[in-house]
Parts: sequence; C-alpha cells; structure tokens
Amino acid sequence: MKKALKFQTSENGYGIFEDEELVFEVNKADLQFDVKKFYLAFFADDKDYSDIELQNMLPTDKEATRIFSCTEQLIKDIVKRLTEELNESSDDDKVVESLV
Amino acid sequence: MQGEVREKFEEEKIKSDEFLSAYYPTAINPAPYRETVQRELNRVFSYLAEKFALDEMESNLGKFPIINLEKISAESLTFIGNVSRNNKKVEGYGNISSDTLTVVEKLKSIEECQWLDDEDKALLGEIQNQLRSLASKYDQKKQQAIDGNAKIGIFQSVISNFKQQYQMSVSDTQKLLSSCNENFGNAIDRVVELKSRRVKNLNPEIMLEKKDIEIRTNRVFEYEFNSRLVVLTIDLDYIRDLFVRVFKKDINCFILDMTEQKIADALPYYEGACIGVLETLKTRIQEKLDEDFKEKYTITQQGSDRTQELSSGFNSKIYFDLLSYETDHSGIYLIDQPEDNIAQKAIRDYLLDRFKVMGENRQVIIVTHNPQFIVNLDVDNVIYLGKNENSIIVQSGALEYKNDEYGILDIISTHIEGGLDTLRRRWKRYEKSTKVSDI
Repeated sequence: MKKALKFQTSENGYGIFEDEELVFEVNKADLQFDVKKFYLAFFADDKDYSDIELQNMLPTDKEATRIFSCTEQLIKDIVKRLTEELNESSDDDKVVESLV
Repeated sequence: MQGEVREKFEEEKIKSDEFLSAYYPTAINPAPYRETVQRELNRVFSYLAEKFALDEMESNLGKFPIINLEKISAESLTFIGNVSRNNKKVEGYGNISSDTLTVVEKLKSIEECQWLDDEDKALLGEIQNQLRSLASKYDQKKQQAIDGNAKIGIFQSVISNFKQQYQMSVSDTQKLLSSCNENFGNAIDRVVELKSRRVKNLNPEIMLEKKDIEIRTNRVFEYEFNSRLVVLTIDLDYIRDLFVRVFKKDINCFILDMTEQKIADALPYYEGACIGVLETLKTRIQEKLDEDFKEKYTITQQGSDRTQELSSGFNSKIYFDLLSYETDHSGIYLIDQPEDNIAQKAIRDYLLDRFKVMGENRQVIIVTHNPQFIVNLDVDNVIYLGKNENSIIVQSGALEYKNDEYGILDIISTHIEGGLDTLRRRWKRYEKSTKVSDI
C-alpha cells in the first residue's frame, strides 16, 4: 500500500510527517543527517517501506529541497537494493565471485 | 546407624551405598535428551548473537552532513560500496564439517557394538561414508570462503592504497564531493545490510515437542527402585524455565524479546564479565543443564507416582525392610542404635516387626539404649555393659535369666530408661501383670 509522506518545516528544522505525525527530522542548526533515526523511521521492525511517496511541501526553499532530495534518493536507493538483496538472499557468493 | 542411613538419602549418596546400588536399574543416558535441548538453545543463542550484533550496528549508524552540492562542480572519484570478509561463513562451514565428523565417530562406536546385526552394521558404514563426503564438501567450501576472504583482503588493501594516493592529489572541493558521495553510499550500504540481516535473522520458534524422559524401574518387594534424570520432561516450558532460573526473580520477559542490556541487568552478580553477556548467559545455562541432566536414583512405593520421592525418614524405613528381607548374602548384622531419630510409636508399630523378620534369616546383634528392642523382640541373649569405679561390668543371659548376683529383668528396669514401663506393658499384654509386681 502506498504511503504518502509530507516533507515540511518542523519545530527544529525540516521534517517528514505521516498523518501529521513527525517521523523523521533534520535539525536546521547543523543539517546533519542522522542515519539511525532515518533507519528507525522508515525501515525498522515491520515498517512497510515498499511504496513510499515523499511530497515536498517546500519546493521554493532551496535548503529544504536539498534535504528532501537527499532523503528521497536514499529511500529510493535503499528500497531498490533491499528488493534485490532479499530476492536473492541465498546468493551472497556473487560478490566474492565477481572479485575472483 | 539410622542417622547415617538418613544422611545418605538426604545427600543423595545412596548410589554409593554398596547395599542399595544393587537394586537400581542401569542409568539413563542423558545425552540424546540434552542434545535435543541444546539444539534449541543453540538456535536461541545464534539468534541473540546476531540480534545483539545488529543492535550495535544500528546504534553506530552515525550521521553525515548534508552539503550543498550546487556549489561544487569539480569532477571527482567516489569510493562507494564495500565488501567485507565473511568470517561467519568460514565458521559456519567449519562447524558443519566438524559436527558431521563428530557424528561419524559416534556411529563408529555404535558400529563396534557386538549386539548390532551385520545388516545394520553395513547400513551404518554406508551412512558414515555419506557423512564423510558431506564433511569433505563443507571443508572445501570453508577453504573457498577462506580464499575468498583473502582476495577481499587484497582488494580492500589495493583500493585503500589507491584512495590514499588519489586523495593526496585532488582538490579540497573534489575531496568534499567525494566524501559526500561516500557518506551517501555508506549510509545506503549500512541500512541495506542492517535491514536485510534483520529480515534474515528470524525469531527462532522453539520447536520442542513435549518429551517425557524414561524412568527405569526395578521392583523389589513393595518398592520401586528408579533410575532417572533430575529433569523428567523436556518441552518449551522447560526451556523457558531454564532462563527464568538463571535470571533474577522478578524477570518475566521471554529471552527472545530481551536486549543485551536487559539480559545483563537480569543476570545476578553480572558486572560486565570480559566474555560478554551472551557467553555468561550460555555458561550459566550450561550449569543448569549439568544439574538437570544428572542421573538420579530414587525409591518409591509400588503403585505410587514414580516422579515423587519418599521423605528421607520413609527412605530409612525402606532400608530396614530391605535388610530384613535380604537372604542373598550370608553373615550377621551388627546394628548400632537403630532407635536413633525414630519415634517410639514407629519403633513399636513397625520397626520391631522388621527386626523379628531379620532375626529369622540371620543372627542380629543390636546395640541399644531402648528397652523396646530388648523386651519385645524375644532376644536370645541380653548382654549388659556397665561400669563401676574400677572396672567394666559385663552381665548376660536370656530375658528372664536370674542368678545370685543379678537378674536381666532387674537390669532392664534399673539401668534402661523406660525399662520398667516397657516390661509392664509387655507383661500386661501377655496377661502376666502379677509377675510385674515381683520385679
């Protein structure tokens, strides 16, 4: 099921909201991307990450758009890799073989 | 003597008692039962080890700065993606090989058993050959994994050297861009690895069907001599209980739901041992298994629940029963103070009868201060040992023996506490109360 999340300003900077609930935030003061919080927000436990759609509600804010793009790209790349990884989970020999 | 018998039972040293050991059936071999439990525990420990490793990986995911890439327009070389040595695979293949060879050795021992049919010997030989080729296959896989790791090592070293040389020659802008891309790529790698390993590390469903452990029984008279293990049933509840027993009393959480920190807090006297939480937990569980899979020898009464034990006082009664019925061995019994720790009523109602039976089979010499044994057992000879200032007095004779110096009944009434009352009761029973007044 498609999960539509909104990227907008939050109390401390920029945040991603799901039904008005803040799920992930980047602090404006340091603009550090916290990978653990990102993981917990989108991939931990049984969270459905298969069809996430991020909506940028701040398209005119350059800084915000940069953070949005970074987050969106990370989610896309990770989902793509995870899909591949989990579909061919038994074949981890390939990495080694490709190096040999 | 009675005290010693009781002590033997209470300390569960009865097996070491030569007399009783002959009555017990052969011991139960705990190995197959323990192995079944161990296999489930290994799955639990393996799950926990991976879970804790991933928890640590999760807490070290880190942060990276989000850089304004529009300001950077230099070309750069980015090092993303990583390959790492897979030592788990080497260990896993190695374990399969060595465990398989252990099974082969076990089969060899069975094969050497003289009672095994030739046909079954051949079958075991065939199975051994198959297992040997399986072990050899996983040995080869292990070697391939080791070679693979070596190649990864060389690859990492080459890339690392190249990266160092490259970074020395590029501009700060290029370095920034490269670093940004690396951060981005590393974040992807780590999240993907973490998530995929979490998905693969399935919560191990403990599949231990209830299994009652055999109790071997040998019936002797009205008793059952049982060889068993301390634990009588293995099932999921047993495994849950193992963990409850090693944790502090108020811990109700199931092991699979616990974090490493929770387990550390739940273990009594755990102050951060260098071997780590999981190894400490394993050690303590092993100690419980050692206790539970020990051989145990019990005696129950025929028809009663063989899993229940008789009280140590009752066990002593059994000992006298067995002594009284014993006819296989010749010789006399020397019994020192059988009355110790036994109520007067029990002596009257039970023990005297046992001694009467005992006396029918052999000569019995009892050392006692209790008049009941002297008066009520129809003893052939009473030997009184006393002393005066200068010497030891020895006086003997049948119960009613009397000479100019002493009478046995007089000695009993004078020197044995409660002797007179016992004699009166005895005489009353035989309607000889008139004689008592003569004493």
